[in-house]
Amino acid sequence: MAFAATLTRAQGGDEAAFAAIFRDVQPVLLRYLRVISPIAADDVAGETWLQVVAGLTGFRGDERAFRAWLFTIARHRAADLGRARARRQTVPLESSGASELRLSPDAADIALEQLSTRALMASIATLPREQAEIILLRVVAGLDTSDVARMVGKTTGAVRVAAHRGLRRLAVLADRAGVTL
Amino acid sequence: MSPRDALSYEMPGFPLPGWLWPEPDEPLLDMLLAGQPLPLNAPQGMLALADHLAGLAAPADPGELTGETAVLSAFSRAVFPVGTSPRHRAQARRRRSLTTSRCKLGAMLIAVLIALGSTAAAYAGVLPAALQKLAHRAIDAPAAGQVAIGGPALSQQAGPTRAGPATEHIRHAGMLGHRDHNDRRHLVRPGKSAGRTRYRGQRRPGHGRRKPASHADRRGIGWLAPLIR
Repeated sequence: MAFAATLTRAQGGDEAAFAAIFRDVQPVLLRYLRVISPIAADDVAGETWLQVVAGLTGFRGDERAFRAWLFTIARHRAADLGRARARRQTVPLESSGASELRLSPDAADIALEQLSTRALMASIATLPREQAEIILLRVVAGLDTSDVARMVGKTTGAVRVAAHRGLRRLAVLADRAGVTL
Repeated sequence: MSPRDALSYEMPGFPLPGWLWPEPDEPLLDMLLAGQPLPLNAPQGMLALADHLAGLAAPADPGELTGETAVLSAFSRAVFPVGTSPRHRAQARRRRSLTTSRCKLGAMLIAVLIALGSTAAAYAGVLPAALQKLAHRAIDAPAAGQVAIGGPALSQQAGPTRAGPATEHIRHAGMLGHRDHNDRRHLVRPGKSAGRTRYRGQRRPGHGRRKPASHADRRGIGWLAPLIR
């Protein structure tokens, strides 16, 4: 109910309401993009919000639908930016310093020495892209299985299986890091 | 599934090299995905992972809100085109607020007028039968077929249609029309008031000399006469 009222005010031009939505969603968007598009996460986030602003008055739906819409935009912007960079750049990744989505085993082990949120994000980045993206969309973005399935173009069963596989791997890494409650 | 591979000599005594605990079952994984708390007897790795997954949805770190200024500027430009000054923006906001208030006031006024008009129509007895019946129950308006003041008498009575005041007087005198057994007026002698027997010359109780009506009184009575006739 609170989000619906805030969204309505933002659609009416209330800057404070839009700022509240931004502060609520931007952290999770950045965390998602730092795994999906680590090189240009901030740029992609900015372009995502520009498109959200442009389409805000035409949006209809609840908070879940808004997040699904926003993260769909983010995925498309990340894919567009990745294609554009691939067309422009010919420098090998090693010399450019660009990090791969799948970190090297040594880097993953180092990241696991002290498991924190950042380390967990790094661990997620070690997963296959499909598993990493699905876990981020389910856990970080808070979307449900059907929304994620629609976004990634898979069935809900396939999304669930991919998420389970990724979580099992993360659970093993968490245990190896020796973190206890 | 296999964890990042530990060699067998690195984990002596472990029954299954590379396995740290039995494979988690799917309900636990679904609970992890849904952000639900795990049971205390869940594997340690799962419990730790649950704790840190919850941290992924935590509020923003200071560095995660960079870009807010640029985004809000873009929002302002989208709402207010380039060239409008802050004063114009404030005026536009006030106009929007005033328009909204005026619309609300207008809607309330219309609602009040409709309510008053409906109430007046109900008391005048001009609503459709169903609505008049509803009004009769809700606000004690005259029932369908009745009118409170000033109109022709439409009450339903057994017998012929009432023709007019003169006929009414003659009926009361018992010389015309159907006599309803429940109507005690037929027991009254012609020419006498119902329920009283008076002798010639006897004044009515309380009927004393009347003060001569003042001009104002005459005017007042004259005003009321069409209504009470």
